[in-house]
Amino acid sequence: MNCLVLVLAALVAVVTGETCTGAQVEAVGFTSQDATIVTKIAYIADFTLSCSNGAKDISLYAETVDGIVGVARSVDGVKYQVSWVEDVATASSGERPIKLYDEQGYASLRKAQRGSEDTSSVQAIATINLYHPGAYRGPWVQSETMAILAAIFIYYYALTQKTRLMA
Amino acid sequence: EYSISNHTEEPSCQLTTVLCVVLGGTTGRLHTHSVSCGAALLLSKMLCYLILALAFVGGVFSEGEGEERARLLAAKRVHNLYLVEGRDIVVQYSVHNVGQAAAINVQLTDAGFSTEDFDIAGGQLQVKFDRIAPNANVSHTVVVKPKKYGYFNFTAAEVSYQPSEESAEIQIGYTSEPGEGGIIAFRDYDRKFSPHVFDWMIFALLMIPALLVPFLMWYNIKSKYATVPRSKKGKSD
Repeated sequence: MNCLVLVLAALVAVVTGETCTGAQVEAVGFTSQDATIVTKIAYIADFTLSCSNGAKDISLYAETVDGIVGVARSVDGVKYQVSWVEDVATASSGERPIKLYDEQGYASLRKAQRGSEDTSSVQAIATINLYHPGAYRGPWVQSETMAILAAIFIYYYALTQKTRLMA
Repeated sequence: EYSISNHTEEPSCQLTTVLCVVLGGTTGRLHTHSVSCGAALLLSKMLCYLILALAFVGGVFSEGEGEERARLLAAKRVHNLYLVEGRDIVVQYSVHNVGQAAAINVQLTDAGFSTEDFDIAGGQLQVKFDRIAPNANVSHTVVVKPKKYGYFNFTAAEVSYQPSEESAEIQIGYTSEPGEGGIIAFRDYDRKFSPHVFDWMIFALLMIPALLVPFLMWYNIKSKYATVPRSKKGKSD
């Protein structure tokens, strides 16, 4: 059954010419870094795809936190964009790998999911690492708090010295 | 949109004529046998309505090829607590397909953020999705930075798609509108929300002479007389 699917997929690929071999991605990533004014952090990866066999106009699917979604393309079909949002509280800093699949990869992924098989056996054609340095949520300690603490400390020191003198 | 394609007038006219001929005899003219024609008209009208009702019900429940269409619902949301000049505005577009067929060549265009008022920090404002399967949804995010402050009306973005693989017509729809928002000037936001660390440093610098001078005076005297424990010659602050 698997063989049949693969043969069919290969046949489809030959007919439509949509496989991409040797995929190279050039990606520019953006994540929101100021969490004081936004309620959700946006993760955006803009990239262009170049294939060594010169295939163009390829539909891609990406694996993100929302599941397997279709990748948006610019109208001329050259630039792709993967994007999603996460809550400020649950967003963690660090690398986020985004795996890209073409149509055959997507079909075999769906088949693996339906059959509850291991989805990591399907090869992605490329992977993008989106780095999120962490969003600024405000200072750890407010500066007014520090000023009040300093004032209390100085007053306390002066008071103890004075009572020691008077005693 | 489902529309009733058969016309309501013709069948009843034809049916009326037939019934009049049958009931009224050989002439076939409506006015010669008015009573029987009136009854025939009423009967034909009822029959027409019955046929139309059956056709409508049949059309709604049938899963014929002409009825399967994709239907896209699109929402545009701004995920911001405050809209500040020069800072990020996170805009998310989500498109759901609630129809029975896949939507082909879905194009999402947002012309509401003009380049003279906004900088695009990340994402593209005009994208297309090749295919959205039935009961599937996609989401697209753009981050813009406003260049000016003031009231800004967030308008709807446009979505155009082919409702099914066979049809060549383009269906156009619009996303939801977030509405009007006020973009705060940066200096007002900063005055209210920044930590003002620099201002506190200046304050501390100004307070230092007022604190240091008495402290040094007391310290000099204390170090001179520290060996005599019961000395009352301390200068109190």
